[in-house]
Amino acid sequence: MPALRLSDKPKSTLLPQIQSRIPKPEELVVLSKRLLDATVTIGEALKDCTNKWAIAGEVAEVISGVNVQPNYIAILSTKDGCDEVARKLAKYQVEPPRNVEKELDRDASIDGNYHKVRIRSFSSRFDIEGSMLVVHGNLQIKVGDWDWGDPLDFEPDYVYVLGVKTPIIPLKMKSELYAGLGWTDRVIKIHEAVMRSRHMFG
Amino acid sequence: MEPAADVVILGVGYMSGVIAAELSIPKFNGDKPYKVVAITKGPYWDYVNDFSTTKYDEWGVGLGRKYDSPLPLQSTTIRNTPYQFALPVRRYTMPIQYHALGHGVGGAAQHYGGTMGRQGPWGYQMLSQTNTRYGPGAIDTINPHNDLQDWPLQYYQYEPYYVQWENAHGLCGNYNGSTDNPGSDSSGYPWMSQNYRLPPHPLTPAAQLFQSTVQSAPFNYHPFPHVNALASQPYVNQYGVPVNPCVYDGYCGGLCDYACETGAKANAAYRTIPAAIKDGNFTLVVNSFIFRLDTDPTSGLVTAARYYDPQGNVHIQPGTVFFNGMWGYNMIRIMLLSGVGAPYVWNSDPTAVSGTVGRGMTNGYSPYRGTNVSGTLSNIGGNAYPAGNAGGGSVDIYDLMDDNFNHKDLGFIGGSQIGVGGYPGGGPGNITFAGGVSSASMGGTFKTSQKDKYLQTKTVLSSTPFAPDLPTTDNYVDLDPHYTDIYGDPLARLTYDWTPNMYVGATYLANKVKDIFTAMGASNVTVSNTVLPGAVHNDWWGHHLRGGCRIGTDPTWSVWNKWNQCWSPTLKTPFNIFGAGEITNTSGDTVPSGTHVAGPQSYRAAEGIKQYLLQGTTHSLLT
Amino acid sequence: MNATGGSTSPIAYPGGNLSTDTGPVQGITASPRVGSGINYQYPLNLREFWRVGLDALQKYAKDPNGPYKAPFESLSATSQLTLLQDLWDNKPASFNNIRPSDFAYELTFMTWAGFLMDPIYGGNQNMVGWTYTGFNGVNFGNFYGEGKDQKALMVATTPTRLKPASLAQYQQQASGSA
Repeated sequence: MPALRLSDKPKSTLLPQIQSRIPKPEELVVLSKRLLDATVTIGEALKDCTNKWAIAGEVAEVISGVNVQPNYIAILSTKDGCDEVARKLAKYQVEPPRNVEKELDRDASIDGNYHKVRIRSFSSRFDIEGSMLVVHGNLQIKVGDWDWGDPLDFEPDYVYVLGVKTPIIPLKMKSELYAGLGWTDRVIKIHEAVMRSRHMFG
Repeated sequence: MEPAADVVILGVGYMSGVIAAELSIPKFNGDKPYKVVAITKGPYWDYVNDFSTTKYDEWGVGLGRKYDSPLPLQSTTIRNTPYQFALPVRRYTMPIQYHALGHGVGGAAQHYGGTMGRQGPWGYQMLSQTNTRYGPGAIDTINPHNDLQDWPLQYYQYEPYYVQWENAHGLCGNYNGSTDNPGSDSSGYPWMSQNYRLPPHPLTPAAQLFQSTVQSAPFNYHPFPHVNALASQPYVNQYGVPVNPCVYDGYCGGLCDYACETGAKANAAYRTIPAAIKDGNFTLVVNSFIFRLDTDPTSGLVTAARYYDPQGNVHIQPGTVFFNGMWGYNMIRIMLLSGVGAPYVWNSDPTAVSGTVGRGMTNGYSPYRGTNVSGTLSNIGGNAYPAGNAGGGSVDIYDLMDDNFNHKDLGFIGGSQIGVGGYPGGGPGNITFAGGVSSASMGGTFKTSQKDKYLQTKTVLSSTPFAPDLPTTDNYVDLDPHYTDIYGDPLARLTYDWTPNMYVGATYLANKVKDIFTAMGASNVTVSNTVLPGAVHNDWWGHHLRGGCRIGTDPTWSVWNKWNQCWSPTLKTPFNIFGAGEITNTSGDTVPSGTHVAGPQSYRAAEGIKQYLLQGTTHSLLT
Repeated sequence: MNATGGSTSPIAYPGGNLSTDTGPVQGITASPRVGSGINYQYPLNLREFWRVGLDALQKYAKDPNGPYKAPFESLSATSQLTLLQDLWDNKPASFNNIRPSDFAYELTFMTWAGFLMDPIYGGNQNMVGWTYTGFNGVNFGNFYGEGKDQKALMVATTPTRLKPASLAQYQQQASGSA
């Protein structure tokens, strides 16, 4: 078969570039090593707990992909759970379980008004290799002059933190709590994380 | 001239991501302030913006290969033997174009199928084990122009590094052996000191049937869920990076095509690089094409990487240590273009070959027209619905692999992982028959055969067993003398054809698989495409190539030492460059996933780079 | 070798003999399966290739010395299929300097692509191809509110027919809910 003559077309060295943006550090969700190691220690120590417990607070959010910066670890449980956790983490204990009531730094924002937020629980504190852990048993919330809410109950979701199956407060529940407090920025952050975790809908 | 870095990383795929996290983050590098720069020719992919509404596109993704390296930028030439004229690949065609895959942060793993699975102890000592058990002459008979070598370390020495790799990426599986008893294993499966971090994906009915069949007499095999890197549960790795789980919507990467819109498919972009950016002294350079490494004429050390930015301007990035994490041929090509390491020079006399860069290329997968076993199950129903993912649902056995059965007088070594029951959701498959489009694909009869193709009521079993492709002196990579990339540099030229071990093993194993399918109750169990060695030639470009730039104990045939550090037989050859990837795998792989076998090497390289930087001398070959 | 990357010496289609500066060399022995990576070596982009191929096909159909002697579109379905088979078998003695079987591959492949790819590319109108094959497109079980779940579908032992959804529909729904 006769040979074909190659056509002599001009070629550009500039190929279309795919538009790309490198994320900034503050846009990325990463749990600090200190808190990660402590969370793993906790998860392993508590894996045989008979009482219901779950990682709460901002650590639960970060390990679910929410862009927040936790400083300490929180656990939600029942009163009996709080006792059980205290036994299993005895060597790290800093404050034994006792009833604690306090006012939160951030107010609730409802209908354009600010209200003080108080929480109370059967609570204990631990120092796990430099990370603070606060355990709340039967946590209740009081907004402004309204009544104390019921102790928070939950069915945990699970995250495998370095392979340790760890119960956490479901994002949906946290989102509802934040919405109730009028902390819409926190609701939005959770929503963004949820959207990133699945295809756009359905 | 860019500001000098302590570590310069070439390419930002799986292996490079490990180096980035381990070297740039003080908590992982011994509290050092090391400056790390990583350069890639492609973009940063964001899985929401770049994949979530646009990936469900068989034409654009599977055929247009919009996530892959663009061919006009650089292609490859291929030929089967050194006596032929190698021709360039000018377009993407089916079924897979492996060596175009890596492009941008995350590389090829952004859109591969996620298959993983550790290589067992035999794979690391294939040559010596074969010599011991079957006699020193056996391998030369089985593999003419044999270039098989042992790895520089044994499996148990790589084991802790496997753990780090599996932690970093969140692998799914279930190891049934005892983690406490090194050396014990569930027969064929290599011992693991810890189980996989995530549980397996749900098994399909076909997989469960396979599992119960092979567990029982007469087989008494040891099935385990397919190991993969597609997160089955929410996960957090040792770098603190949270991982979303798989949502099972198919479009996964059965042919290494679809990217994952939730980040469940492990790759550097969503496992290691985020931690490097957030917590490390780390700079990422994208859309920048590395075309040379500069070396010092006196010491021979690598001094800088040169790259073109998107406008075509030249940048020079100096560094103390370099890591070559480029995908496929590019790892070899950049070294050949730069004069780093000794280029492989082929000779028809295997004893007269010389050099190492480009030597020992093998293939990690069954030949496209490999011996195939098929059958139809009628006892569990069927479902071809494209849901699931590319790596889950199935069950595998290693019992017909490695030296787990007596190979005396069989004419081949090794075997392959046999698995059944993957989800149909690896990829849509509307046009994947294009790889086999023929005159039979026309006309009314064919059209009728496509009606309700996705609504099958019977499960069809199919398996293409093979034995490892073994290195020979005739399969290699060098620079093409005729064709160039868009910047004018020679393309990589692949000289490669299948080795007999693959086909001879396939024929034997096909009958074993036939027995399994029959025992499962399949009807119409057929062995087809029985192929004699040499009867069919490799006509894919790239396929799943491994080796070509191997690690080893001996600088006469390997490029990197046991630390994945470039050898320096003389002071003129650089050793401040490390490398890891499937291309650095020493033997013909025993398992489908060369990535999982390369992964531990990235952690070896990371440790080696840390040692090299600490030693602070310009002449230190790690021992 | 020139800076744009092409060879300066004209090369024959693989399988034929070709000449280089050092003498004739053999084409590679890879199978002439056009689907494989190195078999498209024409110095034509695909648009040109189609024009060349269609012109050759029509010339072959209308050839007064050939078996068909009429424009392709006027032939019976049976004759059309036979003619296309001739292309696969490389029967035409001349075909505008391209291999007939290469064009037959493109024709067959693109016809199916036109039938089965997402409608956003212009074919598969109203997803008729997907309805025919039972493919779901981007309907993962709940696009129209069917309430099905992929995790169940992927391990089911009976098939589920879903009304297909297209990429355009998906993107529209996604931008509506974002």
